[in-house]
Amino acid sequence: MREFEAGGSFFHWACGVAYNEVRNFVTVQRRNRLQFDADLVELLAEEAEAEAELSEARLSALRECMARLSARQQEILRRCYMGSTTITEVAQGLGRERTALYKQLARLKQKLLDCIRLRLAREGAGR
Amino acid sequence: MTDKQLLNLIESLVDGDTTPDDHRRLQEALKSNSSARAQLRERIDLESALRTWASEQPTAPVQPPGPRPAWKFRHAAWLSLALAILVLLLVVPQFWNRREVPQQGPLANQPPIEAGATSATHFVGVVRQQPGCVWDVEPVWRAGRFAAGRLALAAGIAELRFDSGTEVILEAPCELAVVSADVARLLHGKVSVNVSELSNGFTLETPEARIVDEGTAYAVALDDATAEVHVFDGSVIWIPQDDAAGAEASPDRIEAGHAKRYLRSQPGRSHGIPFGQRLFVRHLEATLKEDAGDSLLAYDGFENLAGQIRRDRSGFGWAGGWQSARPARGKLAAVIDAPDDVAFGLPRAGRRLLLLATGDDIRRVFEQPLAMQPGNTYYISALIERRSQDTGAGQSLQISLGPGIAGPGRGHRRQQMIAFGISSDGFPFIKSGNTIRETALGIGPDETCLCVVKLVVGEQGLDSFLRVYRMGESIDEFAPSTWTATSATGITGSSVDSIRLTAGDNAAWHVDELKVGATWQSVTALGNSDK
Repeated sequence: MREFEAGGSFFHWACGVAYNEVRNFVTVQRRNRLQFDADLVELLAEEAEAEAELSEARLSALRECMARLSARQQEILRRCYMGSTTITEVAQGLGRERTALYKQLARLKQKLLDCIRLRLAREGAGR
Repeated sequence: MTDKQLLNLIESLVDGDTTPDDHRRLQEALKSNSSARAQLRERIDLESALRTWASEQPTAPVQPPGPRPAWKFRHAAWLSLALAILVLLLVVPQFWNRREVPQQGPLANQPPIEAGATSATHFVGVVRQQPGCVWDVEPVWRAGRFAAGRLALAAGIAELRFDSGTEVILEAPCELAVVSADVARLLHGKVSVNVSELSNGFTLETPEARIVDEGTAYAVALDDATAEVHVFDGSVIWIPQDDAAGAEASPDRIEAGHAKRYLRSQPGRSHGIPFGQRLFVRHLEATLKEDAGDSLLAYDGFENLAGQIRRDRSGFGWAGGWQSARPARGKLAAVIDAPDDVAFGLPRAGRRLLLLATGDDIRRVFEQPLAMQPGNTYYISALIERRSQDTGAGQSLQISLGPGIAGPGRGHRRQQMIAFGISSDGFPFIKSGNTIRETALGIGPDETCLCVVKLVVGEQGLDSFLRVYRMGESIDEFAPSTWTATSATGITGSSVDSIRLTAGDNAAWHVDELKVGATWQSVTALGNSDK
């Protein structure tokens, strides 16, 4: 990640928005030793910026799609994405096997993705 | 790689299960395939949206704590994912403004200074900062949002955009305590405050007084002995604290265009001082506009900005902020500190300039299009400095004017009407239509020059003239009769609606004091702008 520290455009972008967040991200990436190249991260950031409206539309669509899930399904997702509990702890709290919870999560997320795509397509905002 | 394989790699990344080999394969796919990147963004959007949705949900009854599992799910991977999401989404600060997530992990490891603000940190706005900012005491922040507490800026410029609608620009060295979304306490240094129309008001405190706005833009400088208040728009009320004996002190109103100084030992006694005596960032443009009068049509000194250039904040004579000139909304240039030098009589210490680099291509629309009627004359000037030492291709800088809707080449194929700048090999040029005229003398790296272009609209078309001044040269008092380069007569439309700055793919340029005016003097009076 030398490019980030050398004052490149991504560094400027990062400083302008939330340098601390990026610094932590870089730190974690270093720790994991699996890093995307700086030019790829920059490209992804630029493309994400260009798709800001689409990202917002996805969030809006997700809220609507959530309403179509059962209370039980919503509770599973809420626990998993609150960020304060590990997946193992969530599985224990629900009396489920961790692997089974993973599979259910994957199914729920695929269901949500399909729902989001459908809604965006109807609104003409899809990719 | 099949779609299924790509999806599996993305899922592995998101789940934190990716192996080094998978990581490498995914990176290669992402680099070479825009569709793969789109899929990753969609997947990350889902993760981010789920996190946002979960943080909005009421907390369910807490389960009795069971035995803590010996093996924790890859917490670092989850954190890495969350931060990766942030990295991708933080480029859209307004997107995150609505997304407060519970405080956790190492991101907000600095305790709030204000008593009581401990476990439930309340974020009160968005912080933006200039590249190179140095904090002695960093704000408590998360996802670009800052919380109540003390902060101290040691170098650079930072901006706090409070949720209440007030913007506070800090100029280092500066120490400030954020109390709430509508109250802050200046402890030392200089701040500029802009209370927007949407705000319900903002109170800036000093240790000895409160400053209450009345629809205001103002600045305050606080040192060990004195406090100065300069009001640019509206008015403010200075309310000194009651003295030690409990006697009620009288409020003092300060109107726009006035400044007052208060001894901190006697905050109830004001001393009128010349308005603009102190160099606030906010004040530079007002002075310049006043000096130049109506003949300066548009100006950008790139002041009042922090970090990436985007917002409609700097300069005047524009219909909006700088935008990417590329159809796909590419990256934007950055605003950085100007060097501590004097360029053609203009002291630049403490000011800002534009860093245009590596393919930056930005455009800004004039508030009033320039009418291209025969007989009209316009002038454009800019301070330019090449920062790259390289001499290869892609080192150029081009400043061009674009036609209005009725101009030649409508729509996305609109052509530039006139362009000037410095070529990759360092020679100033002026371009009209398909004809390029270069000067004989090159401009070297790190050499600041002043480029002035004169445009004369005639019956036959547009004639343009370029004059390049090198450091040490005196600027002509009136438009010169001899020019560095003269273009061929070019095409003209009915109006010019925008100006565009384009850097070569390998270039790095400093651009400062960009001016468009109707007279020679309006664009060349650099040394007068800070008087």
